[in-house]
Amino acid sequence: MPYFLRYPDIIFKLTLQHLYLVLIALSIALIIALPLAWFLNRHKRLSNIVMGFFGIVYTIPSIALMIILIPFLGLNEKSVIVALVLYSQVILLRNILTGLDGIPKTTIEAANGMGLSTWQIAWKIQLPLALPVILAGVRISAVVVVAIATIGAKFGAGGLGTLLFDGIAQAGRTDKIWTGAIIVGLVAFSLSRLALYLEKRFSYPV
Amino acid sequence: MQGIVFDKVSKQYKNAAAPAVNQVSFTVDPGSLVVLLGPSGCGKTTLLKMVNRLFEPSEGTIYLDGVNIRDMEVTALRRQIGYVIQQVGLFPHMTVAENIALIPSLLKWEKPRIQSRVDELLTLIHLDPLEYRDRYPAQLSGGQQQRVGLARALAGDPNVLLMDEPFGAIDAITRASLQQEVMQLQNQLQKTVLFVTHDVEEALLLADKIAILKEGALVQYDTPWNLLTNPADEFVRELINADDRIRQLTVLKAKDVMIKPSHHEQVLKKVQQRTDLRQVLSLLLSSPNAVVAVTDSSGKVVGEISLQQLVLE
Repeated sequence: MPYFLRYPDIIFKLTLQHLYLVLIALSIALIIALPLAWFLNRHKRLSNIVMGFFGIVYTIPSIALMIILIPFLGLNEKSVIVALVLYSQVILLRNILTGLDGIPKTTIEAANGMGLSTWQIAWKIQLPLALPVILAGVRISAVVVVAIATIGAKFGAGGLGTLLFDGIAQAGRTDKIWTGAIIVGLVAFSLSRLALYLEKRFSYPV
Repeated sequence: MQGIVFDKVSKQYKNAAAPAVNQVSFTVDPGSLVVLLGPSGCGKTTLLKMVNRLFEPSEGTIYLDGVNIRDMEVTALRRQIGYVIQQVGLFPHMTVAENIALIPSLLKWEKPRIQSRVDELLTLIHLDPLEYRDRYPAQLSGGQQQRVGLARALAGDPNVLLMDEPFGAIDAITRASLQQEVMQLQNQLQKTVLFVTHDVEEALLLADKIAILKEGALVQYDTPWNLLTNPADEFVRELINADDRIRQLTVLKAKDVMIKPSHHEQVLKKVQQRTDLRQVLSLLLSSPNAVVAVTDSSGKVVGEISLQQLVLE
């Protein structure tokens, strides 16, 4: 009997762990990226510096980044989540900035002139107008984060990576590797479809 | 002091040699439509945007109904001023109704009141509420978008409207019908309107008074009639083409030249205050000794015009 039929409970548990890592990381990443991008949109010069910094972070191999974080955060899921958050910043920031840049100046001026406060403009005008582009960023970073999160298994965070690393460690257990790989793929695909649906749902005629 | 008062207002941009607006003083009477007219770069848009404090004057003071606008909270000030811009600036992610409802909802109106206000305004600008309420701006023509822009500006029932070249990007035919509509609306609503344009015909057609600006300075502030008959200098004369008497007749209105009714025995016909003088002239030419009576919107005779007046003025 194939592995995934014999141990559906284990696979289910690992999938949930994996989703937990991904969703926590993406949520934290968005909570950081939204206000940060909004701020950078108003300070273009600073924007180049910050984007350059995250661009460099993005080039660090994921295993290396997690190892660097262990002395600070310990050998646990915290290091993994922080690494995932750092990776997704580049994609999210770039998309949110693109979304904000795409809003015509005159739209903002009209909102300003009508008497909307800065906060109201951000919340009622800028966010919904940039939302389709922001969600495209979420979609791309979700896929990246799902893939990188597999490495988390090496750092005590569990998740579907466990299957992959077990399969490598145990001779002749390619069934575990296959199962892990396929389910990681399915998770990435589903999240990407969900984000794509939301992207369409929140788009508007232009 | 009601209306908008500009008191020695100047605006000096950083890194600019000359001020964009230089010591401008004039008063926009409540309920009147004043056009700021001048070539590009004359400071008319800067002057307009200082009223809703998108720009702050470097010197001088602007009063709105007697209150220094700098003493008001900026968002509160802006919410009581309707603002229409050339690029319309409708919010593409909101329906027509949501765009119009935005300011009333910020002003915390009750839901039913907002809904009836939206329908009332759509009717006012000749868009059927049932058909257009739930459309998105991208699903409207340019002219329709600007109508909605106008409705949105009127939504909070402001006393003051600022219009920054509202019809500059609209084709000539649609522009003409929008201008007619603005005139009708103004007759009905009597808002205090400040209207920026570089289109002289538009200015002469719509304005109760025109402020002519040149290089940031106010050159002349007067009624269309007085500008045409008494231009302050060569610049004004050339700008408004004061020598073309035939054209003047098409843009000037009965109320510009009428005198007090003398109850002349030979009243040829009654015309509205905003009937253009070309029509009046054409009536009078058919019967040179008669007069044309001018009536207000209630039909009361408020003035008369004779052929002599048209010729001598």
